[in-house]
Amino acid sequence: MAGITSLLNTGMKALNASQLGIEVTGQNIANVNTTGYSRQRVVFKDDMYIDSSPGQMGTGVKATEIIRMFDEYIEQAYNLRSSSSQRYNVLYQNMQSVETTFNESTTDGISKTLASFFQDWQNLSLDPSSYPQRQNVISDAQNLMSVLRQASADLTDLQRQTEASIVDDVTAANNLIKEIAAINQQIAVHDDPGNNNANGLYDQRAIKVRALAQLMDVKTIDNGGGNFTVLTGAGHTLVDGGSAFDLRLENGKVTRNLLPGSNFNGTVGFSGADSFEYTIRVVQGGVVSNGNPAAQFQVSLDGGVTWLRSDSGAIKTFSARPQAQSVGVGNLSIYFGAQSNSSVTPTGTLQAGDTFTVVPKTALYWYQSASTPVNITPQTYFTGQDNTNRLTGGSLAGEFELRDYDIGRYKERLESLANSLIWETNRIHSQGSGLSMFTDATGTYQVRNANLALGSDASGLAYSSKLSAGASTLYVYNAATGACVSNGFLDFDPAQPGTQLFDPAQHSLTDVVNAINNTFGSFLTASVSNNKLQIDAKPGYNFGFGTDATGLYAALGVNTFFDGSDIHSMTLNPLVGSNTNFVNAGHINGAGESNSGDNTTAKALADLAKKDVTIRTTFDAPTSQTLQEYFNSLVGVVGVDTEKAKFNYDFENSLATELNNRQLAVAGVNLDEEMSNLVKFQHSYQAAAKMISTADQMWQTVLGLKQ
Amino acid sequence: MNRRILENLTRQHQALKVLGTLQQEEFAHLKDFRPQSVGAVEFSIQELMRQLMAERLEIKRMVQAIDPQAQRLRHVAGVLGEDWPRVQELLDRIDALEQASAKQAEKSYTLALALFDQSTGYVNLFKKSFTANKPAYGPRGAFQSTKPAPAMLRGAL
Repeated sequence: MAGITSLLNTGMKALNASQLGIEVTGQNIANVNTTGYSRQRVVFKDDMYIDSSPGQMGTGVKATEIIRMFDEYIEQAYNLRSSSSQRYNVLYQNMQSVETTFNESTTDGISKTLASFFQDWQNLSLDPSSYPQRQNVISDAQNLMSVLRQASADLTDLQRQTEASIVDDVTAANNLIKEIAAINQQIAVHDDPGNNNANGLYDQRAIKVRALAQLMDVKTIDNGGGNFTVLTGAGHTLVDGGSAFDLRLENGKVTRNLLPGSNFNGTVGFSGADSFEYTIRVVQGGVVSNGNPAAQFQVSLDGGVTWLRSDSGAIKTFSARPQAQSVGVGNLSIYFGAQSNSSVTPTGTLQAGDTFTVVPKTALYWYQSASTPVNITPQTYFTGQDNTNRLTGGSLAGEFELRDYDIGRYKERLESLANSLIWETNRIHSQGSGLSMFTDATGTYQVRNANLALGSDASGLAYSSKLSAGASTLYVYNAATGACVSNGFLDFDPAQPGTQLFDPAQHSLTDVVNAINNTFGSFLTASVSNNKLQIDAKPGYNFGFGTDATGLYAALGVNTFFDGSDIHSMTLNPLVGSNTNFVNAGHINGAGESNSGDNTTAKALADLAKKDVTIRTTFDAPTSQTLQEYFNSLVGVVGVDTEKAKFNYDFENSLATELNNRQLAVAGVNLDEEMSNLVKFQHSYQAAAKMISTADQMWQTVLGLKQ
Repeated sequence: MNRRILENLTRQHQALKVLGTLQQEEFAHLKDFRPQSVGAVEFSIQELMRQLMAERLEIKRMVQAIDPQAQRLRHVAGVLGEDWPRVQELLDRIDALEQASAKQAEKSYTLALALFDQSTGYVNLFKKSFTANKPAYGPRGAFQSTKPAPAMLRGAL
């Protein structure tokens, strides 16, 4: 009903509404520099109408709600881009450190020391009996090993640093997950959409989700209020309303996935560490056994996308062995044991299709209550694609990619370089001769069991796969006169007519010992000592090694230059290190003579610099190039990876920045706009006050009627 | 002739260096969302490319002046005599710079396209979400749902 009273009432409502408008504008102005604050505004609505004559009369204004200006669509898109951007940012920043390891512009790095090593052999070939040249070979070889070790140690340090960042990020992610769940609980209490919007809490939640998106790729499902779900990009729930889920870093886990109805009661055991996950797939059912038949399995290092292959290109198949005969697969020793005790041979039968996953590193797991932990460690296949069932974004993806895929590959390639350098040098050196003959020789490479075939995966011999069938020659001399008293091939079965040659698939270390004793027993005594080959000359004799078509001497570590099989264990053969007379520059010729002026072996080793050799890693197909070219290609790969990370960062960061700008255009506080709103509400307030004073004057007039 | 060929190759070499710098500048503008600056640099790049093309045609004419059958500089290596190693070196450098330019162009193209796609996606969302669904008579006389594009004017002609 119209009247002076309703006029006062309308004025009062307008006064309150304008005041609220000024307060919200003030709140916006006050938070102009607050990160994550979204601009707010009051929704005004004309209040109820009353039917009267001459028509409906309004009753003023009503401030219905305070809303926040925020674009959920842009926010989701931004979080996705921001995750990718952060992944490549971490990658790019750290790849610059990796590049420094391979930067040789200021220091004598691997490339230069490798060249010096081969140059020394070249120099020795010009003066084979020279003591200083021999000493040069030794000292530059030591220098090369030291540089390789340093590069490997630098990369390991970077991996450790990255691992520390991973630990911090996982802690931060778990905290954020809990905080988002707590905010959801608060929103559920305070938020009443349309009446009491919990704008501040929504802003806080958006900030936390943004922070979480910097750590990992996340998706959100907003069903209103506290009913808000945060998932990883692959769909693992992190927050579900008020509930939070857990992420944990765990080391050295094995998970088994047996076919239904399987009666196999064991699992896989392993020793060693690697940057890659090993997927073990049983391809031929059977039992775990020392001999044949045993179940057969294949191994993949990238979750089943590619499978380990032999040098011939065929997928490699391994036998399921108990712990005592664990097989060397990649960088691990793998065996099958009972679940309760891995050293006990398991019972039951493995079926084709059973799989096991060995994670020989610290990995990230998602824990859902009362369920098996799920491995969500970011994984890059060797094809370069991401495993989309794992994390693919955020700093965690960048850190894991750096630690496992990038540095993991560089380290393994560096290891392959060292491994090939050792083998190729030893292969040539072991067939040569120095300035002295041997009165005794001890192998530097150990087997696990002296009765296992040397070429088998279970032999434990570092270079078992390099052995081939053929003849190995030995020469025996009279120590006093230097006359050759006996020479020939090792005979592996004197009972049979003719010389039976070495076969790596059949002959064990014991067989090698027997062959030496059978062939040269009058002059030499061979034995197994500490699972290594030991040869001792009988009094009055000494011996030397000749042509070896099998690689047996190099694989057992007799008459070799290097010892060890990787950067960590790489060293000089102790005999060569202590006596330069055993640096082989020459060889024993067809007449059984070893001449001090002979440069055959030194020349062959100098030529190794230009010779293509087969180098392989567990993830690359075998390549045929020189050792120097192989290292140069590794440096090239590091450069390309760094450039790729930089471009991806530029790309993703530009798109994320553009989306953030769009969000700021919606949610950001514009002071000009707020000032004009302030003036607008101030005038509304003044007008409302004027309305009240007008009503007051009307009352005064009405009250003054009786006077 | 040798001197003119060397001068031409040197100009091409220097031009490609400038091209690389311009492309990097363009990429930087693209990253900072400065479309007008991108446009300005693009004009310079196009002009430089035009000049490079002119130099290429010029050198082709010179090669064919030496030997009408020759298509490439290496076909007249014998005629260039002792200048050939210098020519070869310049050609190698030009090739390396060309490859770097091609890579940089690809990067700029990828980023520009992604920014365009992102904006288009956002505009399409607006179109879908905020353009009203209006029932209208279809050609067979029945109501059908239409979604008109945003427009300044509305009505029927």
